[in-house]
Amino acid sequence: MSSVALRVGRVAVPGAGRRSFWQRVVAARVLLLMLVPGLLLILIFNYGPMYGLLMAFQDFQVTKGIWGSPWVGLKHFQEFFSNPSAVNALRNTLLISFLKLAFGFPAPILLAILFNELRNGIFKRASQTISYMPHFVSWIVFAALITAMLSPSTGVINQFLKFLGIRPIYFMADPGWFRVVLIASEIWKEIGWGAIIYLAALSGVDPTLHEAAVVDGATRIQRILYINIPSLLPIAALMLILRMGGILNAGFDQVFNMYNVQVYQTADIIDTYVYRTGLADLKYSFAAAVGFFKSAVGLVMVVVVNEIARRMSDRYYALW
Amino acid sequence: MFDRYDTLTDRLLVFFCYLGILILVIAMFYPFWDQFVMSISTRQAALVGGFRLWTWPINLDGYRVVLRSKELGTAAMNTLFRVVVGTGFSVVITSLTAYPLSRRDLPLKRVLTGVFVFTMFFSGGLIPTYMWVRGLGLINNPLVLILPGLAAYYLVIVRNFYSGMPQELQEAAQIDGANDFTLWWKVVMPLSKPILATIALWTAVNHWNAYLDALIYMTDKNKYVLQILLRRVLLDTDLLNMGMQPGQEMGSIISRPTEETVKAALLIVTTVPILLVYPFAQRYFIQGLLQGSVKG
Repeated sequence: MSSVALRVGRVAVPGAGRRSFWQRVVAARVLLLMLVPGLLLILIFNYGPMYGLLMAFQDFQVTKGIWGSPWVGLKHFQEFFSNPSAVNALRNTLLISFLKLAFGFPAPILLAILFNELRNGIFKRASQTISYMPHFVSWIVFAALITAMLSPSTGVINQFLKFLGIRPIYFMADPGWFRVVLIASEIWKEIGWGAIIYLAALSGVDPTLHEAAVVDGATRIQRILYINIPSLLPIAALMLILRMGGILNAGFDQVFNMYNVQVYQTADIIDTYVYRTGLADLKYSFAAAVGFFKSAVGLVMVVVVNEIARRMSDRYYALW
Repeated sequence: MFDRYDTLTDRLLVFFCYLGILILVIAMFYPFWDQFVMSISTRQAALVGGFRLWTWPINLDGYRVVLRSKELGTAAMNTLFRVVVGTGFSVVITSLTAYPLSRRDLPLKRVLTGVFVFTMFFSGGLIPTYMWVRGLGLINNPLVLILPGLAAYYLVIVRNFYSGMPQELQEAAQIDGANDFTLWWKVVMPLSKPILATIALWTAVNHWNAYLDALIYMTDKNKYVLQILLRRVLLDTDLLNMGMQPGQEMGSIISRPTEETVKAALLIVTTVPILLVYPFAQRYFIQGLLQGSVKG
């Protein structure tokens, strides 16, 4: 290292904060250059499409592009709220999302409490590993598994119903049952993975609390009720709030791979509706407007939710 | 199983915990097992429904059809390409971008970080993105599956890791005459192997399971990835919905009698790699999950 002496002077600048902006830019030129590839990528693949959102205010034609297509103001947004199938998709989105929250949110907490009562050992480790498994499998595979399980002729569920003397149920084609399938399969896929964060919280509980409770003669149920559950409440409250931020995400991958024409009425959500109207019916501007509405509401939700989380956790769990 | 001081009701409770989890685990595992048994069944056995623990005689025709099909080979190569190249690209670009953002002496640090983080909360959405990519002429170009590989979420995790690294490190390297790029490549990268391994695993799983980008951008049959092949073969209602006959797309897999065993074999062949990898890597996955929930 021949230039040691020269460099020492630059590194140990006292009072570096007083240097002018341009001096700091020059000093950090290599750092800034290192950011260029990443900035270019997000400009092209993230900010470019945001510019493309302008098509929501146009009658976009592929041949004319954003520059040449006629402007129509809020026409497509008005159409959105007067179009019955779009409104239906909005209603389904909220309903499915709330149902998933109501049933899917407590499920991993319950599982974590159960897991916590098991002795550390091979059974606990093996069952935890299996419970994460569905999380790593794509919704395409999952949809196929569920269809096979629920098949009216050969599926194990309907075979069991037949055994009980109940007529087979067409779960995947029945608008009423389909929502139940959506919620149950979501829980099945995510319960084990979702339990991890609560298990981590439970393992952080001070063991002397439990020891003291045992000395005082507390039963396991009492310890669950008065030690474990209260120590899960703060993290659970935050998880709930953070999930509210994604309330318009009813699960595109799941619905898209599981639904079919017969259940559009109860299963079609905004994201699947945008996909069909945009890429199948080629109503680009209308689909972009519907998507824009969803992204904008989603952004507001996230900001609000983050603000609440920040105040609750003393900044610890806030995203920014 | 029990603690010495457990009362009778305690023991009952623990017993039901074990039982409940056992039932849950069996219910979770059974559908995969069912497809596996189906994949080695004879045609007659596959048509019989109900609870399947094992089948006899074993018939591997499903695997023969699947493994010999040209479509599977092509799709596997395409998936392998996006998993290997895409993951490598994402890890390097994420680290390269995260490092400057972690440095206190970066001018405009907050603004620059904001530019990246904003992409986590707002996007152009499906249709404008599709139109934009089409305008760039990237339809049927495999690069479109790779290049949008800088995810703000992972970027923040790696940046937080770098922020926690001792500042003396960077000063020592600068005294030795290294510029920031050399410092990143020679010192920071090797020191951040654990966190980068976590990101790499996540990205690899995401690439393996990704289908939507491939579905809308890769219209050429030779560019299909495994998940698209699976979707075409397993969930053919979609093709019916779009007015197409299942089979007209995927020559050699579907034109043979569309046996359930062939579908099951395809499902197993494309799912097993991930199920074999994740038990050994789950430590990293969990680490990533818990790290992601903590802000720097």
